[in-house]
Amino acid sequence: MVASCGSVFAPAIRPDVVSRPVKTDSSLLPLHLLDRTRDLELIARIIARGFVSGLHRAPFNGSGLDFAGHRPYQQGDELRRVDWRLFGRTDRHYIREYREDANLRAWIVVDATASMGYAEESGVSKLRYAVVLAAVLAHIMLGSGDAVGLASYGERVRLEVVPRSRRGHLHDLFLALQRVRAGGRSSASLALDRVANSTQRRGRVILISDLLERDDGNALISAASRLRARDDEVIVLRVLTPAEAGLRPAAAAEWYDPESPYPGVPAAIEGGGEFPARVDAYYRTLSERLRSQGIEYVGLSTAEPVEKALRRWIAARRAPA
Amino acid sequence: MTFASPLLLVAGATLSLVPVLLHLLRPAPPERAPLPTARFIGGQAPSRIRFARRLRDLPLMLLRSLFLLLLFAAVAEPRFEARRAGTAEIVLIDAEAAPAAQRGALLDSIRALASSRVIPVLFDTAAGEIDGPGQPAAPARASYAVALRALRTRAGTLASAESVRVTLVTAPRWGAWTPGTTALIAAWPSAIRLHTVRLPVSASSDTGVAGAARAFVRGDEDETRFVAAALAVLGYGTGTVENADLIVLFDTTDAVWTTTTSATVIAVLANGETRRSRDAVLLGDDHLKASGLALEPPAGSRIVAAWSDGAPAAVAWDRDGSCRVLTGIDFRAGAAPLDPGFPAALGRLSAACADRRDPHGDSPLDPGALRLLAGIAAGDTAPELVAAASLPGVSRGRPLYRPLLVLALLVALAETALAFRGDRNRTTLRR
Repeated sequence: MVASCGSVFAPAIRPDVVSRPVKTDSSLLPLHLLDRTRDLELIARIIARGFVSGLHRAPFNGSGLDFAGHRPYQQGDELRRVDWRLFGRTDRHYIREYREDANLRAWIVVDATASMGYAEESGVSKLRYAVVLAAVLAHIMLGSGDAVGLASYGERVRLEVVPRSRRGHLHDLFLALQRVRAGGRSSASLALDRVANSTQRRGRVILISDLLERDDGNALISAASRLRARDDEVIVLRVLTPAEAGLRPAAAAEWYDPESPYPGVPAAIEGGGEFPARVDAYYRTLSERLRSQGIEYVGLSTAEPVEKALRRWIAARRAPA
Repeated sequence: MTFASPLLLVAGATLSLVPVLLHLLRPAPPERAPLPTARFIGGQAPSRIRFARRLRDLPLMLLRSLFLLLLFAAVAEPRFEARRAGTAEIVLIDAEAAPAAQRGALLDSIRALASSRVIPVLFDTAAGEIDGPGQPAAPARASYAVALRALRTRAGTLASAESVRVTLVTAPRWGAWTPGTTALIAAWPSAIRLHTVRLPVSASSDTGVAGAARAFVRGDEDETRFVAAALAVLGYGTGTVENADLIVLFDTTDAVWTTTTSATVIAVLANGETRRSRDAVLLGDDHLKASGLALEPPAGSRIVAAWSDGAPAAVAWDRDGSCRVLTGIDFRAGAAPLDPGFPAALGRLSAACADRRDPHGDSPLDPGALRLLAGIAAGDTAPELVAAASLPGVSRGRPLYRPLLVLALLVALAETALAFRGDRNRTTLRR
């Protein structure tokens, strides 16, 4: 695998090459637009453009098949890469550059279980948030020359789109993302295993989920660990609403888990203080276990604009350990 | 502060409670709601949860209530008014209504009649309140424009009065009418009604003619029949151009108009010769329903009849021992020939030059003006004698509805902005 230098996913980014993101007009796309704007491609493009604005674009020019452009000859360039036809026309030496083939095979795994369809009164649904997030990530990674695939799990595990980096693949990804609907119950471990079995090459797996696993995430951690064992990069993006975390008051006489509606839980949220603590403890434990396996864990809230969350994540990545 | 419609204010105060009620009436929490992290709730006692009061709704509610309150308060027409008492009477007295030689007596008469409630203002070229001896008498001719300034000056000091009534005592004069009257009417279109107290016509001139006077009328049949009938009522016999004592012409280009030297000649202006139409005429204290034209009086003439807005309706002057009367009153058509006072009006015009020889008399001020002033001072003013009604711009205080409306608009904009922000945050996405 060729290191994708300049990619926003690079563990270390050279400060002389990558400038700080510039806040543009498109930054902080309002959350409500995520729902009202049906054009996922447009949303992804807007967010990605605002997000990577100011980043040095590394086109991975090399000797691949896709012609990327010309550049003036410099001392040390191989003579076989000189475009002699252009030399004949312009009497100047130019080097032909090609876009390198896929640097990395990345899978984006979207949790489409029933719990992801939850949306509190004043927020976006987790699934919608995850879909937009996946679209933005796909946009960025494809722009970096990576091959991106999409898998989802809800009623069952589905490999929606296999990783490719060709032109037009982004559109296929967007179409597949638009089709994802929340429903059923499943485990992320099944999806990760399925992704692992689908490819022998090492790559990157990005799981976007609320991580509400029945077994407290044991199977998930095992599956992710297997991916890590073969040197795959695993990133877990946990999406949660403020109400689920107990950070925003909600009211009902009885609560129920969308993935197992009966029996309900006749209890109160607000005022107790134990509920948020329990949720926090669950995710804290889960994140520590994941990180202990070398898995990157990122907690995201649907109350936070996607672009802002991405920036925060990347800033945390850049920070020295 | 006073309100023109206090009930509207009460209604607004009541309606402003509606947003409060609507904000209090929150939907009951659902019996059963999804929560993916419900498993972490366990162990707590079952209880029905009330919705938490969200603070961001509080300013929205206050803004909505405030908007309704301001809107209705504005519609209720609030005004800032100082403490007021009674109705102040301002009597504007045209100094030229009396001979200049008798100004002193005029001032004394007015002072005697004035009370604390009546404020006489004497005006000619300069206006001044009569409040002490030695009031200087300005020699120049009177002007209603000056009267207007005097009125405004004086009315400004009457802010504590509940209302102000203005009586304008004057005799119509060309040159004093036009600018002043227009300005007065424009300033208070419904508050001022001019009261003319004297015209230089004698009361006896409309009662008939003595002896075997003869009249000659020249014009078309339609033009002459009403005038001839009126002259017959007045006792005029039929004469010729040569022997008539009174000649009435309907054409000012008629040679008789310029050649006759021994009779009173009345010429009626035709349409198009003057400026604009009028619809009522004053002759002395009497009114005649008539239509006609305002005059541009020749030099040396004097006004003997005026339209209701003060513009001259008829003027007269002496010429070579005869009397010329030029009038814009339409004798031929309209309401004038059918008016019961038509013969008398014609008789007054025929005696216009006789009145010229009748000076102002012994009274320092026109008797009508003095009667008017006395009536006002005594508090028994007859409505027809009081020329003005309330002065809204002076007595009703400073209106506040405009600032309130602007404030309500700003509140509405703030509410919209706040609601829009709230809507952005509350958009629920269920997919």
